[in-house]
Amino acid sequence: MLKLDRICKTYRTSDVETAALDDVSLEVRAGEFLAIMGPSGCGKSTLLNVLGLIDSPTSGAYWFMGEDVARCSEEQLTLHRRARVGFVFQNFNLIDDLDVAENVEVALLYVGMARAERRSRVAEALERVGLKHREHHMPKQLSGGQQQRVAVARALVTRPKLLLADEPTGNLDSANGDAVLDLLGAINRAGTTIVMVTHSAEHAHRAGRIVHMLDGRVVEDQEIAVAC
Amino acid sequence: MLANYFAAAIRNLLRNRAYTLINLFGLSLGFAAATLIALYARDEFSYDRFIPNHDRIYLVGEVVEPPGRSAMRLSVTSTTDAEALKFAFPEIETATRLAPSGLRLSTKQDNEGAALDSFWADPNFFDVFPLRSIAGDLANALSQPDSLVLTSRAARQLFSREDAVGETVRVGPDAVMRVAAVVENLPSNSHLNCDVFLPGAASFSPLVTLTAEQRQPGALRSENAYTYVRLRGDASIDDVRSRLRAFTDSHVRGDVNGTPIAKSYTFTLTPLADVHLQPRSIGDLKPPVDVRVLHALIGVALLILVVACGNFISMMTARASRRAVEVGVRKAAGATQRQIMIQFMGECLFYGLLALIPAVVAVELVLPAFNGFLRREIAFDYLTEPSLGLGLIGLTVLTGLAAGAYPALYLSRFKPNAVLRGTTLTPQSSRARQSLVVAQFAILIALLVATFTVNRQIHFAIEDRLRLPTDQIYLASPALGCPTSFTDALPTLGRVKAVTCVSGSTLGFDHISVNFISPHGGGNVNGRAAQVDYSFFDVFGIQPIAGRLLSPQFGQDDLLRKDQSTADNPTIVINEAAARALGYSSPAEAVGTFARWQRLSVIDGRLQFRGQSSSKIAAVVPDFSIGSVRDVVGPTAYYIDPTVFSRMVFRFDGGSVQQSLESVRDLWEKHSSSPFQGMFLDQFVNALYEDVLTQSAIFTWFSAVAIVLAALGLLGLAIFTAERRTKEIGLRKVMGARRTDILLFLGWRFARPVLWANLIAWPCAYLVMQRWLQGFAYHTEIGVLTFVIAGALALAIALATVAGHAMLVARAKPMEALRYE
Repeated sequence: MLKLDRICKTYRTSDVETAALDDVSLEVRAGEFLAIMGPSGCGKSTLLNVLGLIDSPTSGAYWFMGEDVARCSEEQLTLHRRARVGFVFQNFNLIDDLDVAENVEVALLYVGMARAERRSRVAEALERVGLKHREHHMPKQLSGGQQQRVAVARALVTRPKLLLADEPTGNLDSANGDAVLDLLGAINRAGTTIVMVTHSAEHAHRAGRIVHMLDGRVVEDQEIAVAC
Repeated sequence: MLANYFAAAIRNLLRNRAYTLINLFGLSLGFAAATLIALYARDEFSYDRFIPNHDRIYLVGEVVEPPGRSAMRLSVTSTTDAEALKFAFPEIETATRLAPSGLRLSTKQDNEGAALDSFWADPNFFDVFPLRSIAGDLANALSQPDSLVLTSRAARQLFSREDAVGETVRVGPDAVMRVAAVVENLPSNSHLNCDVFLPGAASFSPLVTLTAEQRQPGALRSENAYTYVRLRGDASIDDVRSRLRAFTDSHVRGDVNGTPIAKSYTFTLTPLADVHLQPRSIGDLKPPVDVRVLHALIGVALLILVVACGNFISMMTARASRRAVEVGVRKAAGATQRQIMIQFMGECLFYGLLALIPAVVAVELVLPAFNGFLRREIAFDYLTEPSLGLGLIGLTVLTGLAAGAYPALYLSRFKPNAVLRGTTLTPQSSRARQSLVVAQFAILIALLVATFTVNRQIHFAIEDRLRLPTDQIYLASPALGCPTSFTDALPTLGRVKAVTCVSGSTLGFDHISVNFISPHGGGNVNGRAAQVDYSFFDVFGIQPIAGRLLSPQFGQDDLLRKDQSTADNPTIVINEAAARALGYSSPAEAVGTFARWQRLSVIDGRLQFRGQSSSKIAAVVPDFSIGSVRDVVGPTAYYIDPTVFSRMVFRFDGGSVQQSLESVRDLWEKHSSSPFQGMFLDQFVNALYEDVLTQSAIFTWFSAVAIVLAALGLLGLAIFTAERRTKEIGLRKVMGARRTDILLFLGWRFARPVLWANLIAWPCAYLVMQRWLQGFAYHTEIGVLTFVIAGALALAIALATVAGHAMLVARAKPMEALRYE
């Protein structure tokens, strides 16, 4: 489904060049639940951004669902991303000025869907994360766990083939963290490919495969025998 | 999608109430100020466009440029010109005339219409100017020599009702006329200011009497009538203009010392809609507008909008970090940069439309006072006048787009991977905001310099240059003349400090020439003749620079009173300009010498220079004029010539001016049946500078608006900076910074852009205002102090604006500040 071939990503300031990704090759199969682990600054989030088409590699080739997208323009990446990729972030990134349902709806606004269908999809997604009854609440009125579940609902409302989660439990206590992981497990079992960045070995082991990174390189690719 | 955008916009607006208020108030104020200026400018450009066929109607004027003298523009012509033009040019469909009457109107009930402006008009006047009749038939209203037409205002003043047709009105001391029709008042945007139209066909109308006089062989040409011509629909004005020179040469007869007068004359044809936009002319019915000032005002309106937009851009980008997550999420969800731009542009337009509502309310509230000040009837009927409503919306949309473009571009360029990780935003926006503050304060400082300069020039024109108690000097109407029986009786009253008889030329109301033969060779020197009485210098407080003033002790001074036909010239007093022009190295050198000069006087019914004759220069006095500082005071010769005295000038004691005037009026009424009329010099001077006074007030008001806007922008930025720097300030306090250190730190931060602004504002303001001052022959200088004061004031405003907020921040406990982040 996703194939990275010798991907590099360097950041340049006036006098310093930093390699965030250094010759990374990786393949993600459809339906996989992949966890990426590694110390801070090792390039996990950069890899996730490249996978999710919100960042472009400096060099290398990237086949996204069968198409080489490494040199695509911003506009083309946006069109590829639209409705195919869902994102979940560590700090939830809900829009303060929109209520729960409106936040979830944002993901559907740019795919050209009729209003009635959007509404039913939003209701369905919220039902799935158990927050239908909170649809008219503002983000500030929810707990951290609830906010992350809204973010998950927003990520899956477009029924994406790929869901990328950047430390989705990083800002949550263990109970809420487990609940979110359960939710991601269920989504994966329903057929969505998931790539998740995490610091938690326990959470990583609920994935089917763990990729370890260090200094911008993949240092270990470990299949887990029994997924969650 | 729109609902989602709308929800985000509205909630963002409500969540940040302080910013929203500052933002909306700033935009509203900018819109209101710009709308008022636009309404004013529109009114100025709309003069006389309500008259049907105005594009075919022309006011005939003259430019008179005698050899050696600067050109004079006149908006009046001879009473004979209308008929001659119509005869000479088949393109002219019809011609009509107006002539001021100055007569007092009263009713049988002794009801005197206060200050009614009455004009003699030709019977066909209402054919060219078809005003709307309220009562009576306009077609023949002025065809009878004893019927007149009133405006509804005049009818109300005289009869307390509009339907006054058939009523009789006493016109002047003797005539009685019947009201034939009542017309609607002329709107304020007309160059005509008539309340009463008297029948030009009346035997004592100047349209009849002066025409008869002008037709006498050798008669002096005089300009007393406003002449309008209407061309045929298929006629070309260019054709007419191309033949005007030949017409002038054949129509204007007579010569001065052998030179045809016609050579000095050029007729002008000004389209009716442009009459108000022409340079000032002698005889203007209303002071025209200076188009340059109008353009400057439109510039000020644009600057105000720029400042308001600057605030908006500054606030929107300052708050951008609060919207960054939203942009990131939307982009991650598949929104393109274009879609994000459209969203934020739409939001800015929404802000603009929201700001338009209070702006419209503010204009509605202010307009009556604005109209009162300008003496206008500017309407703001945006509901019934589609162009106005659309204009307002267009202004809002344009401003919204202009103000929204940068924030929309700035916000839409956020990289989702950066903002969603919480990376701090690039500092370019902060630099852009600083640049905006510099630009706003530069505009503010430039406006302050302009306001100070305009006010200084007015003070210079009215106070410094004349150095006279203008409220104690009274210029009697020329209708009164200067009867010696009255002036001789005045001392018995004991209330008049001095009285003098003068010619119109002395005061600059008309021009009689003198021709000096230069004692040092070279060409002759043409100057102004100022025919005065002994006491003229007393009345106007003029002291000689060298020599002695005219006095009864010297018989040669009053030569012409004794013998009007003498070819000799009387003793003269000249001004400095004349002394310079005659080549004297100092005033003292001129005194006591004999100047050879020619006096213009009427010989055998023709205006001619008499032969050269020498007379003594008794004194040199400073250049003096009660006229506008726009005009140069040329060489002037003062001498006594009672034959051309046309009016009296009184100087009263300071203590009881009004009582003194009443005593003089009482005494006058014992001498004459005509009413005692005139005006104080301060009224005259204020009328002279009415346009500059209006400009000054407008500049002051709109500078105040710019000050408020710039201060608002800074306040918003101060709140934002303090918010962003709470942690830094807390840390500084933990490290031992005192409250004053924090205040100085914040103060310097906001003072810096104001200081930079001076560097931009000073040269720009200097160049613009220097150019404005060049329009006056005599003007004040723009001193360094003006710039320093403007800069200091802007700095004080900036510091005062941020002081309150900085104080609050500086007083906060450091731990609170650190906990905040």
